[in-house]
Amino acid sequence: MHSMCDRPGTARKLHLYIGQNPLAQDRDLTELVECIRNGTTPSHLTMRMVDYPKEELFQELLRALAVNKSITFLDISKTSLPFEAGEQTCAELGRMFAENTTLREVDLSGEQAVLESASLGKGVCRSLARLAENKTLEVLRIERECCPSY
Amino acid sequence: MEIASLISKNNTLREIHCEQNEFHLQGFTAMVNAVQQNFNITFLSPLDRDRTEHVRVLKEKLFQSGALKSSSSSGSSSRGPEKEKKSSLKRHPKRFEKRVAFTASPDAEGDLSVVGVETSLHLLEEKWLTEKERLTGLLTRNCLTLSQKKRWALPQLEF
Repeated sequence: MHSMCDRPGTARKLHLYIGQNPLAQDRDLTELVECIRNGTTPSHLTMRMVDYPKEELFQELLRALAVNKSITFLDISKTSLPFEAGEQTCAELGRMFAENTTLREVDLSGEQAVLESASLGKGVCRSLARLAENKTLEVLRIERECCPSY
Repeated sequence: MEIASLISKNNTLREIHCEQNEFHLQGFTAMVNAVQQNFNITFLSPLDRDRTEHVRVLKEKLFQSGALKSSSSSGSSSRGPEKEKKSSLKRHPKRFEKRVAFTASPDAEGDLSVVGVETSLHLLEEKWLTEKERLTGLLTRNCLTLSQKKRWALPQLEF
């Protein structure tokens, strides 16, 4: 991914689709996270339907996204964690919403099918509160995450 | 209610896609009320599937609960029309597992009749559709407002 920059510090207008891959299978996302943290990514990134065997890996990704300055379109839908997202993960997600200043479109949808379900859980709704601090996001997709509202 | 709160506080979001999150009528109404104060949102999911699911689940619970009486509902139907029109949005948490924002028109013994349940479900669905229409109107308002702003923001050409 870091080889895709035209010029250092400027995101290339390219949509990189790396979803449906065992990205976190080796329990090491260091290189990918480093690219995101340094901003050496294309402008559009899709990482949907990725399984994270440990929640800490997803938290690392969210921390990197909070400081990223190159991605404008992010799709991390149908993310699968071992259990529902815990407090720390929800806090990191909220921090990403509050501190990121380049994202224009984010997809956090889940999946609720007969044979398969992938959802971050109800905690993701709590992190939405920090979107009030965000001044750049324009499109939010958060379908099938079961944020109950009575 | 988190999404309703978000809509009222955030002025940069343009589109929110939030279908199939088990929303009830109260939540949808809160979101539409928030859009009334927000002039930037141009799309909010109409929650058609959530509405269908809400009505279906409620219907199943009511018909399975055994709280229905077969007709001695003749008594309720005679004063049915006026009573049904006065059905209001109240909660019966003891009767239902999920909190719901409506009540059926009970007969004299306080139990629900089949007619009353069907009528109340129909009213519930009407309320959903009313809110959906209101949402459509508000989103159209926002689209027009934003397109007018863009027009006025165009640089004036000098010849």
